[in-house]
Amino acid sequence: MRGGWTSHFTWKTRPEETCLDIFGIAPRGSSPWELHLRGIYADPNVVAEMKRTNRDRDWPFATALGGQMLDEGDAEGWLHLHDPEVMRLWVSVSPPPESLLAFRPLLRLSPFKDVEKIKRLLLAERVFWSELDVIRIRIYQSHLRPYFSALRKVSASRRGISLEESHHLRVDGALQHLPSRPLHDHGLGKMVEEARNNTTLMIGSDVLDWLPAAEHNFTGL
Amino acid sequence: MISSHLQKIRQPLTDKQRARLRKIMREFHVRAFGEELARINFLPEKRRKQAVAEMIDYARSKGVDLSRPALGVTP
Repeated sequence: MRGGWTSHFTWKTRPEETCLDIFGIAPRGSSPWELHLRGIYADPNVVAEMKRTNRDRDWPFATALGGQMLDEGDAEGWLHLHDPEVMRLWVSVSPPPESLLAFRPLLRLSPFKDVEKIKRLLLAERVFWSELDVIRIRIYQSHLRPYFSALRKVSASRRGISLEESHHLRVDGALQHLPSRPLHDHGLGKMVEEARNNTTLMIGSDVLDWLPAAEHNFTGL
Repeated sequence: MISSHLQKIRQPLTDKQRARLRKIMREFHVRAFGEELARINFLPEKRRKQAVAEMIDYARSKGVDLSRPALGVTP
């Protein structure tokens, strides 16, 4: 799990398969999730950061979690609002604090009256995080081939092995074939730069100054 | 948290502000998730979990296949 690697299990149970995703470091987490637990659950801030993915369906959850944080008096909820209507309506009641503007330049446009501009910059933010996620996954996947190849070789003659045996084979293979800090080795700054470049290509170079800071979102990597 | 890089920013809400925020967020949940899920999302935790479990049971009883493949990558 070091370096942000994840592990995925599937059991062929009935009526549906049972799936379990395990990770040690929250993608895009700005602090260790284990320091901010709510009982057995992760903090809304951690989950909202994880929801900045390349999948459309994740984004409404980030906004919902941002609203939950604001409800609890945590102004950082402003970092997770991605809906122009929510931002426009809420700003008249409680505007974003100045200390957050450096992390999310878009908040400088409070009270968000220019709806078209806000929508375009929200789109740019989303493209930026999405591109960063695509790059992140690409880096991890680029290391998988030798690992899977070695795993297939050693497990080919061992049908029906126990979960524990399988676990040891996988750990041995991972230690031998997977880098322990792939994103760090690639260069975190390089990832951010590539995502920023891709965003300006897709949306326009004028959005560059409005893209969020991402350098705090690599805790533990 | 970003706040670990700066001082924690607290903005405690008055009852009136909280009511306003909840109205805004409820309208957002309806837009984003639909009326039924929005209603469930604002239930107390115990009733929310019960409602989700009932929804899954109902889907199963109607033959909905809830299985999904492991993607191999945490999205």
